[in-house]
Amino acid sequence: MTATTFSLRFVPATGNRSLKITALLIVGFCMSGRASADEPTAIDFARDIRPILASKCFTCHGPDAKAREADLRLDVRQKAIAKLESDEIAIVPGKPEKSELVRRINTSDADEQMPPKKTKKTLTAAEKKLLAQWIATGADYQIHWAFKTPSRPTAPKTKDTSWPKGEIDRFVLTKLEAKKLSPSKQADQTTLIRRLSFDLRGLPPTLSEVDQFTSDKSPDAYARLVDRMLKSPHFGEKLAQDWLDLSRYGDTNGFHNDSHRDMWLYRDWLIHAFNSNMPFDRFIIDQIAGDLLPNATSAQKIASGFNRNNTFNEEGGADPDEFYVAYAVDRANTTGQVFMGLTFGCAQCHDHKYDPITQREYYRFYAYFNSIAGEVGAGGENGYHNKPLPPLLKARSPLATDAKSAKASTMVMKAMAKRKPAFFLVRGDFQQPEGKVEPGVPSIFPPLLADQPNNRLGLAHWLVRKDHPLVGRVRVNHLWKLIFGSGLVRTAGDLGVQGELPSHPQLLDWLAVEYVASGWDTKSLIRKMVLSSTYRQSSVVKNRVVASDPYNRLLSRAPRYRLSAEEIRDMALAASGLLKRNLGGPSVRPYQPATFYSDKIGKRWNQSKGADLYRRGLYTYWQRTAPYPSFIIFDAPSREICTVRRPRTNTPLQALVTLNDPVFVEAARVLGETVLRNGGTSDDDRLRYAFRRVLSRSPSPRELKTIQGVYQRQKEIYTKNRNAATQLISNGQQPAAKGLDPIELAAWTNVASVLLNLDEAITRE
Amino acid sequence: MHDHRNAEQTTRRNFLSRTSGGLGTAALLNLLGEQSTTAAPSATGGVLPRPHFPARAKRVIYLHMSGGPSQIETFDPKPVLTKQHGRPLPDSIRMGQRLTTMTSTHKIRAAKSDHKFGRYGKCGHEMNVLFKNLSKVSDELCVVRSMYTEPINHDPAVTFLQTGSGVAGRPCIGSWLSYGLGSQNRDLPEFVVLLSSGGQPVLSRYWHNGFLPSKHQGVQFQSKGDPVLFLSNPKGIDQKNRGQLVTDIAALNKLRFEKIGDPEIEARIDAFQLAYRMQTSVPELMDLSKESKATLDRYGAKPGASSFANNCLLARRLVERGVQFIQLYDRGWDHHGAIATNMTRKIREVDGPCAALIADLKQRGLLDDTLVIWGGEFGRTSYSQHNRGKQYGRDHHPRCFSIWMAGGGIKPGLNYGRTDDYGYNVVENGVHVHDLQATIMHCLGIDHKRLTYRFKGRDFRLTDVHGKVVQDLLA
Repeated sequence: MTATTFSLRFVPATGNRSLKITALLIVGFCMSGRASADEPTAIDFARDIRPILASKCFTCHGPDAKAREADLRLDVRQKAIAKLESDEIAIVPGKPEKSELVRRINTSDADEQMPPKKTKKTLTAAEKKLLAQWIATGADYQIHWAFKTPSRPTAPKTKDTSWPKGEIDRFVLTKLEAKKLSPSKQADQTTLIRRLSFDLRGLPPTLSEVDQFTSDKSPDAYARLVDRMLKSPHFGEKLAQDWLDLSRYGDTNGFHNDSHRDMWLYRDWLIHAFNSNMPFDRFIIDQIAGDLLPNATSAQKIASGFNRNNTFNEEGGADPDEFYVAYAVDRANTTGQVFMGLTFGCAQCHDHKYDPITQREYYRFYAYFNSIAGEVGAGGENGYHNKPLPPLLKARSPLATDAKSAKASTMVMKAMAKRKPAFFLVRGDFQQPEGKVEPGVPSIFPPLLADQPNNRLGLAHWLVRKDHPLVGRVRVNHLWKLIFGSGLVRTAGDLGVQGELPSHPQLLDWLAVEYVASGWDTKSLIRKMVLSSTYRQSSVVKNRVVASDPYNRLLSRAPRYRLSAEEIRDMALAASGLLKRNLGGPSVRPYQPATFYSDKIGKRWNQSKGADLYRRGLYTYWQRTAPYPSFIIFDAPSREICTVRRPRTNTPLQALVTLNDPVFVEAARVLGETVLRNGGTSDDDRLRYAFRRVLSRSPSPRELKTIQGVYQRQKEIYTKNRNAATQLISNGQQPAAKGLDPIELAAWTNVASVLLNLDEAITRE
Repeated sequence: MHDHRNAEQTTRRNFLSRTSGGLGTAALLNLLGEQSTTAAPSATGGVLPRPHFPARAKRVIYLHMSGGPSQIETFDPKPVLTKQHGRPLPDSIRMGQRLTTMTSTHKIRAAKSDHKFGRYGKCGHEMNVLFKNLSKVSDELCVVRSMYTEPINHDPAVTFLQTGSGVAGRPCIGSWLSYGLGSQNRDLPEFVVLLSSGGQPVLSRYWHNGFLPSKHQGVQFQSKGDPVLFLSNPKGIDQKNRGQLVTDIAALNKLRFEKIGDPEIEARIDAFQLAYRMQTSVPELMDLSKESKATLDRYGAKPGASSFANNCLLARRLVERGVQFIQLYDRGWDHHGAIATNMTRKIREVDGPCAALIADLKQRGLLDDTLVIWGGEFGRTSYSQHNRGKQYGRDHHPRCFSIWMAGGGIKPGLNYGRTDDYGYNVVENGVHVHDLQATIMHCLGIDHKRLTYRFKGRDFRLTDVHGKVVQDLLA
């Protein structure tokens, strides 16, 4: 296919305005968007036609019955080829000249023209041609790929047989070869261990880990490194970190006064589940219906807190009926989003405009979540303080190793004794109920299992059906995103019709089928990913970027991207030696600007003391309406709703964090102390040591020369101003180490700060 | 760019285009195999190469009165309530609409206002006589008495006003404008938030970017501590040394860029340089001591204080420096009890600064292209809410409320919309919150239906699927 039709074909999905912006963007869209790397040979409905129909026609001729015009729907073949009231037929397969659709999109009569002028949508000449060609060749419809149960594809044979280490590489290399591209060479050892350490533990490797790995010359050194990382207790923290965004975990209720809630046992349950490699089907069942399992353990009840993570409104005068609906809606939307990668919420007010989910089906799905005990309290005399009174469980942390450790409270799910009926809500309005609905799943999917009850437990078992078309794909796509920076389907929150097509559809299906067949074995799946040659490539951009793949969707190099907010904090604390690595426990309150919090919430931030100031980022108290500022600045979400993908931005406010946030200032000073103590005696040894503590690798001669200059200048500055040196080293709660020369320590503090502020320090290479 | 799929790239592109990193732009273009002549991102870094139509306003100052000021005590006097005081509100007025649970079990009795009203200016706007100063600029104001909204509680109502949806997660007005129009200023953010007084919580969600890239988030300038988070250097590092260290960081980053070739590294170098410039430009901005005594007195501002008056003066200073959207939150307007005394206090607090702001903008020739808006998230009931024998107050009321606007393409002197004799329902020219949002966008040259962002498979916009520009309000 030529470049011209390529770009024109893509335009419909983004609107014709993109044409006006820049050619640059068009290329970007094409390459990253609809352009699956499969070379097209014929018109493909899903790739070529459906995007046009979806963006230009479905609003009035799609699944939404209420918005439908002329009783014509184009999303279902049977309806599209049927005779209309007007006696016309929109699509006559094989006969574009007899198809009303073709006539209407080509007419110059403003009254008849489709899409109508008022929609401000237009079809390009190439799109019109494609539609006509498609009708001429029989107007073949297919179900959207993601709604079909995947079957296990065979990994293709590649021309180069030495590079692939397994199936993943064969799928990847096949596409590269088709584009006449070659993979990058393998990254060097220090880059690999640093990458692996961030990807599997969210932490940089220690120097001794680096030394051990780089001196290990045995052929399986890398595989053994992978196994060590997978066994690390920090593996569970890394995966839990991501799941906290998905499950919208917070330590407060999220509305208005935003009061405290006890939920951290749920966070600990996640860490434990990931560390013990709990099969993902079990993981789903416990979270969706842990409370309904026969003889549910306290761990299973804690897991059911997944559905208590939604925000609550305690505001005086809040209408319980309104919020009752809002909570069930949030649970339905989150479940659809997290496990099925669908934008369920779109069907709350009308039939889904793009995906085959009707509004009635939405409310049937919602009905699994609306009959929950203890949602919002009855309210006081004046209705003030509608404190939610959900059932609390007193239990030990699943991470507790000692039966004597203290118990804590956590919110758990509990079904109402008598089921509260659910209603179809007109336009999603809780004040307009219209007829009861029974719980049920959308008809596009396989049905509920016959031997399961029609409640949350049945729903959970349905999600983990081996033939569920979405759950396996969605999870492997999330895991791919964790390991490769973005999903094979980049719109990880939307695998529906409006989502992007996978860059490697067959690879996605292969991974999904393997994953389910392995008993949903997460560690084994991740192991396959990180052992691949694809993963081990260098991330050097220079000379690798080619016009046909500017965003590296084909993976001809390893992706290079900024670390997450929490990882950036953890990196600085780990490099300095301040990081406390203990697992779990109540959330902690590290440094925060004095008035940031009280200004908004009108409460005091009770800063933690001692070791609790230096815990990993995922233990930071999550105040949802005033989230920890340095995290928000680095794109962490507020977690009021489920977040599938964090953006990665690059802003001046971020520079101010790593330069001036007390966390980073203290880390720089403590790193300075560590260097003076353990970095040898010569300046160059110390500079190399400091460099390696932050970046894992040794500096190049030019880099070394540059930091020598930094050190000398800083030493000069503080020699002239001893007072400033004393001030600089007094920053932070931990007192400066005794017996060190303040001038020397101040100079090393700033050397350390320069290193911690480097692009490379906060980047996963 | 109307697609979240390229969010990361958008950020990069916008950022490069507004900073000095010309090299970065060139490098990115090379990377994509494009000639630099083909790409001309708008000079301001917004996604709109140019406004959809000529903009009447270039900037907005939104004075949000958090808590919901009573329309009956401010701009919409209701003598009928005085006659009917203590009598049940007629069913023909109530029409069975929902109430908050704070009063839904109460007897619904009409409640008069204890305040006096006057008519001011040539246009004859009616307002509470306590607006001693604002009444003097009456002819500059356009008063809308027929605003209405949907949520009945604070948090969802402010969220609705800011984002077009009562449910958290969508971008607010200022973020949309930043996304669409970019920045007119190289040394300051384009969207700034200022808070004053205690009272209702003001949540950072109200200036959140939602699903837009976080560079479009409002930046809160604080009156205490660092005006921008982490702006000050730690003890022991002066600004000169900070400049040295930022240069050192850039030198090392450049070496890395030579080896790796990722333009993201150059964007990082630029970000550090802007951060460094902000360390000077923001304190200079926040320092009111250079303002003349006459100006300080007119606003009632005191250097170093944390007040609505100071924030109004800061808003003018931000406007002068090209900041596009300035959001003020003043708290303490949620008068469930003792509405008479509370309103006296609050009106006296904001009257002077609001009037001074308008007069000052006008005098400096800035009012023509600066849109000023004053109002809350909803109004208050025309019936009383009692709290254990104390002076009565009024409950939340989304069915009608009053706001005023000035400058920036809005018709001065216009009194728009009408409510019924009880101040309970809109009876003429209702303006829904989505209509207000559409109108604000229009003043800035944006068609609210055409500034969209693809997220989760749908093109989102500020006004959801609603909103119409209220042409009558336009000058």
